[in-house]
Amino acid sequence: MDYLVIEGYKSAAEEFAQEASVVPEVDFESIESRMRVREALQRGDVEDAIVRVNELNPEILDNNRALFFHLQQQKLIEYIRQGRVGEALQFAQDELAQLGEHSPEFLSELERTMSLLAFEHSSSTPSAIGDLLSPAQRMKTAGEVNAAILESLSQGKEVKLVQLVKLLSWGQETLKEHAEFPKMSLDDGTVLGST
Amino acid sequence: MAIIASSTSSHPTSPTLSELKQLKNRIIGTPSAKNRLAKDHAMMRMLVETTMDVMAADDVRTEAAQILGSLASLGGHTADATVLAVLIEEDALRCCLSALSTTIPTQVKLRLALARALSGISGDLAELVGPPQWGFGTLEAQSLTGAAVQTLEWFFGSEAMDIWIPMLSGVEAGVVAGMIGNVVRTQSVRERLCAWRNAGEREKKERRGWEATRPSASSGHVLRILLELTGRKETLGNALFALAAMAKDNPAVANELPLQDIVNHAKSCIGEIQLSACLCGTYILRTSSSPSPAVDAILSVLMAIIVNGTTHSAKGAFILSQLLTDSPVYAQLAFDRGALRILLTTLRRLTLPCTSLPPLPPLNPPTSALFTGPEWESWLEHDLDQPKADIRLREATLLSLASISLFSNDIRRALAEDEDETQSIDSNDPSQLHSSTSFSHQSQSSLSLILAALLSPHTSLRCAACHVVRALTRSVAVIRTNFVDSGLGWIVFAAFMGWPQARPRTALGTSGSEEEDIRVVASALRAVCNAVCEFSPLKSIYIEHGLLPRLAEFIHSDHLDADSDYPDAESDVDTEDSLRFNSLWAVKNLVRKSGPATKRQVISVLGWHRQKSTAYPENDSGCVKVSALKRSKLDDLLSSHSAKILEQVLNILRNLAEDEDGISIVLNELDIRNPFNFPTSSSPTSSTGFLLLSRLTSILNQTSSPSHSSHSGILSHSPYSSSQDVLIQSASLLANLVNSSDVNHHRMILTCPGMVHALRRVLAEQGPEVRRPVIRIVLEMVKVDLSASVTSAAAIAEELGPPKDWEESGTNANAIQGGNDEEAGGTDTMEIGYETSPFGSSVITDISSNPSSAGAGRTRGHSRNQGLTGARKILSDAGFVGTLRRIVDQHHYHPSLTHPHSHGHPHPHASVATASSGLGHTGSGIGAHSHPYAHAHGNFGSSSPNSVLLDSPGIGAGARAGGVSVGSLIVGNGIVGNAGREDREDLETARTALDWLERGDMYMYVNSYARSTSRSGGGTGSSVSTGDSGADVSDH
Repeated sequence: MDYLVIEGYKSAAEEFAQEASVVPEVDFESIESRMRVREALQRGDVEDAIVRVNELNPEILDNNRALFFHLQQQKLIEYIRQGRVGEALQFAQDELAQLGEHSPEFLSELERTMSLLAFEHSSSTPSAIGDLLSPAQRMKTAGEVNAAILESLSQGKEVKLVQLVKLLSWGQETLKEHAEFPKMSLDDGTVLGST
Repeated sequence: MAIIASSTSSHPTSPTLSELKQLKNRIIGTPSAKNRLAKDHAMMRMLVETTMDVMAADDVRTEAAQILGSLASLGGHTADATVLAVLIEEDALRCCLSALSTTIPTQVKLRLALARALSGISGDLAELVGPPQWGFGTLEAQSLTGAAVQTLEWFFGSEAMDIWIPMLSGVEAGVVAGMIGNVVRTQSVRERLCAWRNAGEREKKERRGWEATRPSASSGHVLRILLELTGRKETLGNALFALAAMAKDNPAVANELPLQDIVNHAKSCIGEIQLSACLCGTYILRTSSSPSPAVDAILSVLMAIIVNGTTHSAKGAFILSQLLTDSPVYAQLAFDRGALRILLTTLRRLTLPCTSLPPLPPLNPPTSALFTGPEWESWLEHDLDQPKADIRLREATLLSLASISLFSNDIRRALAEDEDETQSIDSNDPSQLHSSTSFSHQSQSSLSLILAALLSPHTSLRCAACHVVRALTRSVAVIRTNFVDSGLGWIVFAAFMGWPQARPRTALGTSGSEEEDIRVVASALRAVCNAVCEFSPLKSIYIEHGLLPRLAEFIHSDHLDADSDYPDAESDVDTEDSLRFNSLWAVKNLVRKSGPATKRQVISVLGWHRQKSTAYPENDSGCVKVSALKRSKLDDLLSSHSAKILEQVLNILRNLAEDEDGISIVLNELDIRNPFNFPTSSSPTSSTGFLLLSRLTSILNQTSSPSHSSHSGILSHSPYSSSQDVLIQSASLLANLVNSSDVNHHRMILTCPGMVHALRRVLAEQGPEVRRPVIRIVLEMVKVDLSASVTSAAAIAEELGPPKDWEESGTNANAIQGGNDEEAGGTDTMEIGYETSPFGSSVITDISSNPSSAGAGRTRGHSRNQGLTGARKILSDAGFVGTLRRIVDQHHYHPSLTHPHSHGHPHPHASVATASSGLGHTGSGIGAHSHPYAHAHGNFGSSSPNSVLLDSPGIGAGARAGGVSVGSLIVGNGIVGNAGREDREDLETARTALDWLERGDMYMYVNSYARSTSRSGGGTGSSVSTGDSGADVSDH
């Protein structure tokens, strides 16, 4: 349930709540609005995502500068991706430069983004920069926003199931240094005996 | 219920919903856009009016309220004075509250938006007014403070609270709870919130007013609701935050809170909740008197938060520093759990090492040339570009380091000597941006980390670094070694002096304001206080480089003069006051155990020196024209309404009067004028002392009299304890003055109108701490009265000499004292060095080396007459006999102590002998060691074998009995515990004083035998000064 809610599977969560007859702790509307934000980001419509986040809770972006910067950065990336160089430059000058002025720690990240302009889709783009254009960057930003919204709703931002797996993996790694034991493989779920 | 709004007229062109939405999305997260909006006054006015306009559609009003809220909060608080100014100017807080009062609970969205705006704006105001919540305040807009104070005052008035407190039960509960956590910062506000009742409760109370019980915190409506809110997941974090704000320094609330539940919340997986729970738990722990095991859980959570390097780390470190502040037990516990290493590792990760300073020559102040060059510029640039979150974390870490090392010498040494052994740091900081590079690969000593912070362009870091330096300088060893070697000694002094040349700057030279921030100066001063103790190598260097004029500037700065140099002066009276207070403290440490030349220099630079006396070249720091009608600077301080200030001034005088030269300075050279502003005749030397004494009399009267306190102003703002401190200092000053060899000084005290009666009342009404010096004054004065009549004044001078700094007399005994003195000074910890009652004695030396003079005393003893100063008669007439007897009789339950005096022996010899043997007996049993004479020598050196040997009742017996046998002196038990000794000592001193008062003439004979009695009596008096002033030094 926790997994379904946090990862935003609204209808599945609804079904699950019904069948398992558990009382959901969250209202499903919030899941839906969160997912709208995520979808907007994934299709590259940062503007829309920002509007939706503000609709949800105007404090989120005000109180989380890094998040807001990443959203703006994503917006810049989308401009560049679409080849709207003029707009990209204008946007960077108007908005991002000011952000950088207030928070100098963002400047180098901004520079990295701006260097995308220099390469213009050429295959020679260094991967450190080219990564910004990848869908993974969108996912990363979307995940950040998702976590921020969840936090504003006082919910855990990480899925408990994932935490559990991480703990298991860490525990196994630690134990491995000290003892031989039957290990659980995360790939196929089988327990590999060492005997 | 509704508040009449300042303006309700609707703007002709109300903005449409989409316009507002657009505006909102433009400004959120964008400081510059907010700034632009704030400058558009017409638009701002329209927003406020729209918010209040009941005719407008809800969603339009919601958007407008959201814009207002967004303006107020940016990264928690707006850092933009323009925005804040316009919010205050438009009275946005009042408008939001007024709008709220007209809404109904079904207007959920609007109410929520309004509550958020309310929370944001009130939080900004609270941050502006202070005290800051996390370390250094972020807002600096002094011109707005006055208006902000007024608005907040209104906000916590019953009218406003009746609107917003009930919202704790609505959908806005979380927001309002968060607001409480943010805005409630002073005790008066906490009390108001606790006392708030809702309408129903108030009605009930009115009806049954005759049986109304005292309102206790537990029945507080706000507290009850907040506790309920901790039961709901979505409001838990904010509710805990609010509870923390309510519980801070407030035992009434803290004791009501369920500590264990709160500690359990600290283990939550949500960062905010962890922080709030830790904060709340910290405040509860700090108000409880006994250490709680719950601290372990909180410590481990806090340490994890700091290590993880998330956005919460800085707050976690701030909470840690609050938990450890002034708590030796928790500091030690945290140290044992490895907190010091974690803090240093964190600090190391965040600090770019600054160019190492060349060893600073101790005699030359650092010059700007030292801090110029390309490497400094790049270092500065990096420091300026460091993310704000990292700066905060650095500040918090430094503050935690200061807290953890404040009390324990071991921790201080561990901190000072840490040399970066831990090279591998597994700091996974997912949320930090890449720019927060780890510098751990470079080896940095902990002191260089502190130095880097001290040189940083960020004010908050310099301030925090000064706190660490202050903690470090409490250790003598650190002052003597690392403090000087690392250059910290110079840099912190430069910060105090406000020298711009001792800070690195960029080529433009505009990296920071030229003027050092007053808060940095204030905290640097506290480090300087520690560094001017008698054993500090820097003491004379600081004085040479202008320490005294700078201190004088702060001590005599006038509140009323607009101090344009210090923008904070107007709003931050606390800083101003603490500057004066700590400057006095520094002077107090400075004059202690200094030579007469230094003492004269100090008082002349401070402008306390009488103009006709010796003028020193330094005397140019603003001397006032002598005018009999105008109050002198010292007069102003002595009539200060602040008990804290008065206490320090008296303590300075007391430290000045610690030896014969000092007494002469205090009584003859201070610039004190007639307290009643009567024109004085052209001041004969004695009148200064007389005026000082009448001033002391009035201080004793004013401070001790409870009925007077409400008008006198001395007590009105201060808790009882500080007025008691004033009494202690006044009495101790007198106790030092009666060590004077000049019987005229005694006469002066005795004949000062009202003085004797004031002393008697203090003795009768005050606690043991205050009584102690008073009893010693009485004893000393009576003894001098009687024994002075049998010997010449010169002989008394020899006998009475205060044992320390008495090289001039050069007897055998004093050589030993000098040696012991050194030892005590060299003790590593100041606390240990001085808190021990100064013991040791030269009695044996005295007696054995001067047997002839004892005999001579006897001969002269028969030729006594009425007494030299008449002290015995005056004191008896004033009723001291009865008062002392009451004190002695109060302790009647102790048989061995009361025994010898419960029935008066006709023969003084017998009486004394009984007393001594009785005491010897008790002493061996309970370790109480209460012969008043034996250990009366105000001497250091508890570690010396001499003192162990001599420090016994047997000596006293021997001395009193006229040096019967030296052998018996050594018999006494020498093992003495400090605990509980003081009370017994007091009692015994009181008993002796009583004896002297009642049967003094009979003692004359005995006394003339053993001249060491009077001598050791002198030691009694001065032991007050050395022991206590030592503690004072350490206490900073």
